[in-house]
This record gives sequence, C-alpha cells and structure tokens, in this order.
Amino acid sequence: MNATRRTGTLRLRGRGLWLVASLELKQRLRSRAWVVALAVWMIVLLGIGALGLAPVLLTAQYDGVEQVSSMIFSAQIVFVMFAMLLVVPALSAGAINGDRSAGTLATLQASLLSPAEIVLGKLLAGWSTGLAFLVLALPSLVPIAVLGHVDPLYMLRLLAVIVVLTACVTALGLGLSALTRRTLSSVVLAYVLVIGVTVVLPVAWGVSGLVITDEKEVTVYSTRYSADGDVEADEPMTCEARRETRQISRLDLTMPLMWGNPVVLLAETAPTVTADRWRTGEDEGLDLLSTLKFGMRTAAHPLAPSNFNECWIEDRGYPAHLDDGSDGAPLWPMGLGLWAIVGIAAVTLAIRRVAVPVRHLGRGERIA
Amino acid sequence: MSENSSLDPAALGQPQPPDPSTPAGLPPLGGGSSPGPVPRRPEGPGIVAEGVSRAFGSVQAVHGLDLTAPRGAVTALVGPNGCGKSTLMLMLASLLAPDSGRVLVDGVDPTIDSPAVRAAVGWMPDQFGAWDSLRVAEVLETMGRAYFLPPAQLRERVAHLLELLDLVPLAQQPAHVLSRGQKQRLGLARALVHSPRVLILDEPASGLDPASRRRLLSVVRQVAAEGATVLVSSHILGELEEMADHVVFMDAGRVVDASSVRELAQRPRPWRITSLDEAALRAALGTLGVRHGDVVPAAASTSGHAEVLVHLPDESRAARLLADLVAQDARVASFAPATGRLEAAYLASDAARREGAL
Repeated sequence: MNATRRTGTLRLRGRGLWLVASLELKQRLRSRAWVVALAVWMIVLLGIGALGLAPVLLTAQYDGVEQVSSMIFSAQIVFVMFAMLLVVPALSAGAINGDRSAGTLATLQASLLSPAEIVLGKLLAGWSTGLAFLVLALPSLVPIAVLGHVDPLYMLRLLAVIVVLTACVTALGLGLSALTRRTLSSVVLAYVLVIGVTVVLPVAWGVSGLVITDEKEVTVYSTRYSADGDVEADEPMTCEARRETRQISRLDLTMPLMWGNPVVLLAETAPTVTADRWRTGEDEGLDLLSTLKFGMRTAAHPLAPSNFNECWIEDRGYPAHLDDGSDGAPLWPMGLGLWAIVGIAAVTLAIRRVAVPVRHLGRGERIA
Repeated sequence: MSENSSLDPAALGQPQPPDPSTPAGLPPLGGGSSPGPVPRRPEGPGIVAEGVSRAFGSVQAVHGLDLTAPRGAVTALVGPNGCGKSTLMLMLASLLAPDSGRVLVDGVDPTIDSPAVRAAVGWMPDQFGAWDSLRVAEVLETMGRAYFLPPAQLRERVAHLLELLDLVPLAQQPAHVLSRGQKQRLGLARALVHSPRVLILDEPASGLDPASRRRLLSVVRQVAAEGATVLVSSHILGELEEMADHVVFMDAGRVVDASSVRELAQRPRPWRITSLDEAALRAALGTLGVRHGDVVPAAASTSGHAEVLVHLPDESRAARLLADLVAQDARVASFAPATGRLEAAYLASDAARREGAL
C-alpha cells in the first residue's frame, strides 16, 4: 500500500504533556514515602550546614566565618549534587517499564497521547521531582552562601549545572527504563552509569596519569640558594631558570574521561584562580570547587610553563605572568554537551520504544 | 469449516480516516451530548483482518487470520488460552503491528494511521492496570483527557459512565481498593470514555458477579445498538451467547469456524429430556425410534426425574420430537438444550478436545 504513514509519534501538545506529567506527580505526591524522603532530605542538609558552621560561630571567630562558610557551601553543593544523582535515577528508571508491568503504559499508548507526550511528560515529572529536592536544599544553602559572601552569579551557575544534569540523568533513567524489561535492571544500570561517571572514570583518569607519560625538556624555575647555605634574612633569594628533562604525566590526553564528571562540571562554574594568585593566597574566597577547577585546568595543560615554576613569589626575578593554562579551553561545554547528547539520545530511544504499533518486542516483553 | 469468517458480505468501501483529534462520534450511552458535528462513519465493516500473522520469537501467535466484524453488532471471539485472541486484539487496538497481512479498523489501517484508529477504538485489556493512587473518577477523567475531550463533555461523560456502570458509590475510592469485578467495570467505563466506534473487550466478564454481568451485557448490547462494532472475547460461553450476534472460533492463531449465533441453532447439539415416568419415557423413545443415551433413573438424577440425553440436528427437529413425546404420553417434565448453542459448537471443535481448552 502506497500510503503516507501517520504515526503521530512526535506530536507534542501542551495538554498531553501536562496530563502525563501531572499523572506522575499526582501519584508521587500521594505517596507518603516521598513526603518523608523530602522532609528527611531537608533536615539532613540543614543539619550538615549547622554542624559545619556551629564551631566557628560558637567560638566567635568572625574573621573565619566567611572562609569557613564558603568552604561549607562548596562542600554542601557537591553533597546536594551527589544526593540528586542518587535520587533521580530512582525516580525515572522505573517510569516506563514499571508502568508497562502495571499495565498502565498500554492504556496510555492506546489513547490519543503521542509517544513523545508520554515520554516527555514523564521526563518533566521526574525532573520536577528532582528539582523539588534542590529547592528544599536552598534553605540550607542560601544562608551559608550569604555568610560566605558567595557571588550570587556563581551560585546561579552552580544551580544551573545541577538543573541541567538532573534533566539529563532523568532522561538517561527514562531511556534505560524503556530499554529494559524489569525496573530493577534499569535502576541498577542507571546507578552503574552514574557511579561510573562520578567514581570509576576519575579513578581511571588518575591511573592514566601514571601510565601515560612523556619525557619533555622544559624550563624549570627554581630558587637559587647560595653555595654555602648562608642566607641572610633580609636578602631576597633569586629565581633562576634552567632547562631540564622531566617525566610529564599526560593527563590532558585522557581528559575526555572527566568531561562528564558532575563534580568537575560544578567546579567549572567556580571563579578562575590563576597560578600566581594561588601562590600569593590572594583568593580569600577560595573554596573546594575553585581549587578543583585550578587543579583540572593545570592537569589539562601539563606543559604550561607555570607548572614548572618552583620559586617563591618573594624571590628576585620571580617569573610573573607565566602561562598557567587558566585561560585555556573550559571543560564545561564538552561535559554539558556530552550529557545533552546522552539525554537526547535516551529520550529519542524511549520515544521509539513507546511508539505504537509495536513492530519488535524484546524477549519476554509484553505490551499489556 | 471455513478459515474465512466474513460475516458481512458488504463490500469494503473506501474509508475516510476520521480526525484523530476529535473523539469518535458515537452519541453517549443513555443520553448526553457531543459538541460539534458527528464525524461521518466510514462504510464497510468495523473490523477487517486479512491474512494477518504475528509471531513472538518462535511462537506463531496469529497465523494467516481472516476476520470481519460488522458494525452495529457484537462479535464474540472464542478459543482456548494462547490461541491468539489477545494478540489479535492488540493489533486491532493499534498497539501491535502484524508481521504480515492487513488490519482495517473503522476503515483505517493502524500501521498507516495509528492516531485515527486509536481515536476510534475503545480497548479493555484482560488485565486491568490502574494508577493505584488515583480515585475511580480520576481514572476516567484522566482517560478522557488522554482523548482530549473538551472539559464540559468530559465531566458529563464521566458522571454518566459512573452511573451506567454502577460506580457512583466508588467514585472517590482509590482504584487499588476495588475488587476484581469492580475493576472490570471501571475498565469498561475507561474503554467507553471517548464514545468509541469500535469496542474491543478482552475477557470483560472475568470476575464479575451475576448482577454486574447482566449490566455488562446490557451496556455492550447498547453500544452495538448505537452502531458501534464490538469484539469481545470470553471463556464464559453462556454469556457470550446472550451478548453476541456473531461468533468466531479461533485455534492455534487461526479462525477455525465462524457463524452468526442465530445460525448456530441449526447445528446439532444435545438436548436433555426429563420425565416423571421412566418407563413411559423409555417406551416413547422406543416407539419413535430415537437414538439416545442411557436413561438415568429418577433416583440417580439431580433433577429427581428420569433423564436422557438426545443429540438432535437442529431446533426444528427438537420441536417435533417434543410434540411426538407428548403425543406418546412420555410424561415430559422438561425438554431443553443440555448446552448452549455456542458451547455445543465449541465442544464440536478440535480445540475443545485438548486439555485446558477453555
């Protein structure tokens, strides 16, 4: 039959999208377990913030409050992101195969809702639920951010990364849920992938630094001490350059392993710290994430001249303004791009798997 | 026995696919109003399957099946477990594509225009899946919204279906607390929410109490009377006989027999004759030369009368035998079919002779 096929698979209507999303949300909101989980989440975060700040506030060391708060803020935001990575796969990785087992997916598939509306509605619901956890973390994050004089734009960048990552991980869970028959399989698979990106790949990256090395002749800057070791206190020492062959870890070659790492992506939002400022300790607002960002940028540019500067800033002839790689290409576009590709691919896969009429069914898979 | 079960000789017209964004145009059962013009119904049978096959791995669920179900009538699908009934229904509901062959539902091929078919079909699966935390009324509202019914029509429709299927007292109950029979009623209401032109019911009577079965029968007959095509599968043959106009017997993925229920009256089946006098019954049967089974004495029968089973080719022959027995003073207390027409036809098939056939 030579007829134009009209599957309506990608048709997207606001009413359809909202129907599926609200159906999912309604079921969650009526579950006591979710209310308890949200309450526990909020209390734990408030507790962590209080426990971190309490010693500083109680000893009235107000000079240290800003620095401590800034550190606690960055630690807490990393904690929030890890917790989201634990929660979100559980939300989305059973959304399709769970409904298929319960017999409710086929009911929706047989209606006028399009596969795109079903999948994107579920994505919207999973994402919104994940963001509810983020919103509940704000009462703990905001006061600490205020105490730490955290730049509001920095905070917004952090939240934006978490929001995007939550959407992508939700999409990943949905894709796996559409791909596998059992909910347990998709949830486990989602956790394996998330743990793989956050833990396994960084370990692999670290190991690669030991394995992949290059011998390079580089210019090393080091402090020259007098031959007799008699150094007068007032006299600055001299910084001198010499050529030297060194074994260089080529962590830059395996840097793609770290592109998608959520902690690295968070760190990318931190204010950039230059090697010179790092040495002078000018950055009072230095936190865990900016430190990590500095480390990653250094690792991404193993041959940057600044990496071989071993002089003290007080030394005579100190080589200021050496290239430290801090103005090199940022990692976040690759990381977020990677996650976006994964998310879009997962949603596309889910839509294809939900599309009817079904032509191919997996082994042991049922429609209804 | 024919493999082709064409029940309606009407030639298939050129179908006009309905607008899938508009709910199918049956007027609501028992009143109510549909806004806007009623879409024109395509000509021809509501359901047509031509040489349809579908396999799951090495299992051939449906094999070269031909079937036609007319509009305005109830067609019963009868067959043993695993004979392909549910698979066929999934294909008709536009959920599953056939490997080969062609399906037309309301004049439209689901593989060509799935939304048009889904707009026309109300499907009730054999296993009810409900969103457990939703209330009964909410389940119907959700389904109505999934068919994009206008809010005013949706409210009216939900209220009407709750009443029609005796779900009003349960309207605010969560779906998960319902009994199996109540869930079946909700499932039927769900399938009817958008006033479908084709209603596909997979085991709708399963778990229903007698009163609910009567209600189901009434609702299904009403839907058909309003012009819809109804295809229903069930293992409860007695009920199907009351409900259906046509019957299609399936076995091993094929249609093995098809008939109108009315025509089944012309088929042989056993009749049970009870008499107040065993000797008179024996004598009358002997005089008339009727071949019969053993006469069960009154003391050994459940009715308390002498009983005998007689196989008769059709109902007119049965009527003549009854008249002759009365004339022979056989003291007949009752004279009735030992099985329903449907059951008799099914029991005569090869499928019925296998273990666990129904």
